[in-house]
Amino acid sequence: MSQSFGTIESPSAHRVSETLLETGNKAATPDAGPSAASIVATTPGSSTSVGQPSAANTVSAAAMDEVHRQQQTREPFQVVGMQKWVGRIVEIDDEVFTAELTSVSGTSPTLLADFQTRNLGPDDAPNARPGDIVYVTVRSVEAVGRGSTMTSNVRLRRLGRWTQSEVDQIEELTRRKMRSLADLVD
Amino acid sequence: MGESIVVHVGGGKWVIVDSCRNQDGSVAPLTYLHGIGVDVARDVLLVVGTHAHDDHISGLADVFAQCCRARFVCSQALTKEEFVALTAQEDLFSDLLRESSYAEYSRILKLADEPNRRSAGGIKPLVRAIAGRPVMDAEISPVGRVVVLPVSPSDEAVTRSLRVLATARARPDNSRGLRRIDPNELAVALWLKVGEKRILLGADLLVGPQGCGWIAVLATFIPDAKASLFKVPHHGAPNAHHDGVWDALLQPAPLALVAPYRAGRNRRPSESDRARIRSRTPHAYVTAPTRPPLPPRPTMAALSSIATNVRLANAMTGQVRARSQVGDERWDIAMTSPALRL
Repeated sequence: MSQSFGTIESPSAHRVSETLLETGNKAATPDAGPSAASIVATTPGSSTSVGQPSAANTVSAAAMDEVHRQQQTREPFQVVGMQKWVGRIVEIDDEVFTAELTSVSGTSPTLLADFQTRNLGPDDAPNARPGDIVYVTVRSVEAVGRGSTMTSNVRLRRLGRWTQSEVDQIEELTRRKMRSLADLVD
Repeated sequence: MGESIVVHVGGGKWVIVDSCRNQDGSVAPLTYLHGIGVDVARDVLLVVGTHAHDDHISGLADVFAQCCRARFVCSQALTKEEFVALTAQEDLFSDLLRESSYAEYSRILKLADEPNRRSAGGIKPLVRAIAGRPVMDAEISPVGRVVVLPVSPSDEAVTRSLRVLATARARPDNSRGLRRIDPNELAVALWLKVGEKRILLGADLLVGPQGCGWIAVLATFIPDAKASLFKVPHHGAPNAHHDGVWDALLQPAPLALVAPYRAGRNRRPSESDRARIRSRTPHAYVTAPTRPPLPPRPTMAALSSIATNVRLANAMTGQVRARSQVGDERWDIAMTSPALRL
């Protein structure tokens, strides 16, 4: 199931892209990234005596210094908050749509909110209809030296297309329902 | 958000029209009736779903489930294959399509099929609302004759709506999705005769187009007496206002009741809607303010980067209660906050 994104910049915040955030996360893990992997490699068959630096030890120490230098030049990021809602479009026109939002975490009551239709993206905005599902995500990120920033996005849930098999199932259930309905309705 | 009407038709018997939920999720008409000691399993005669918009149908299946002796009334279009196919889509692919108003009707159809639903006389649990054909006509002591008469939808409205419903039917290679299609033209407006009183419940019925809506009602329905109570249709919106309704079907200065609509950007009744209604009657009441309450500040702050006009979907349920004694023309009004005079 494909998805499209509209990324919204908070007007007063710096932009923090998702790619940058993921890189920050990878740097935080001890064995991630090609630089770290080459550092821990050792020369097969070498041995080390206490107090005597060997060729293998010398390479490892220098490599570790390089790791530390790289880590110090990267800005640490921390996601300090994330809120998600699942919404259903209530009304929509060319400019604005209204969605009823249910908090995924259950931390906020059911809401109504208006969004710019163009934020659904050029592919989805023209096709969105009342009843369609949208996902809303708001992230708060703290970066050293840059303060708190916020990113948010709203995207339409794409459901794909009906297959013949699914249509056949629907039609069969419809026929069964109509047969029983005949006995139930005056 | 939403509206629901409960009508005492005399002798401890009730009719429920539409359903909505309270702020805590409980079903408003059931909460009210339980609160005043009504045995809904025994004393509710009819449950009416005027149309399948969320603000009229939320919790309706729960209502029908508990009112196990009641018959369910809905537009005849909702018993046709075009609509039933949409409930089948909902049944089979609800995890994909997520809950929709069709889920309520789907459950209602299943409830109607349960063995305990048929009366000893073999009376069927579902009744089609067809304009001009009563869905109830009974003598109830001490009130007298009670008639519940749908005045809409017209045949033309049903035909038009079925064409629209058919476009939403699943076809191979069409986009999946359960589009909300329930034109207000399909709405079931009800004329009630309760003894000597007449009541017009306007649902969300619109003015037209030609052959549909209030235009069709005025062309085909001539009451034996005018109504003294009017549930204003479609939240007071201008596309549901027809002067002919006020002139031909309602007494001068009737009691007018309005339920607000706060889900969309155009909230109803607007200031001009209120002025229009007040120009027809000074006795107008709305069950809640048009402006919805705001959510907690942190929630608003979180969404402010991407959304505007953030508000609570569900708020405290207001109530307007109109009571009139047998043989008395007056209506006594009691309001439960946040209901107010229009």
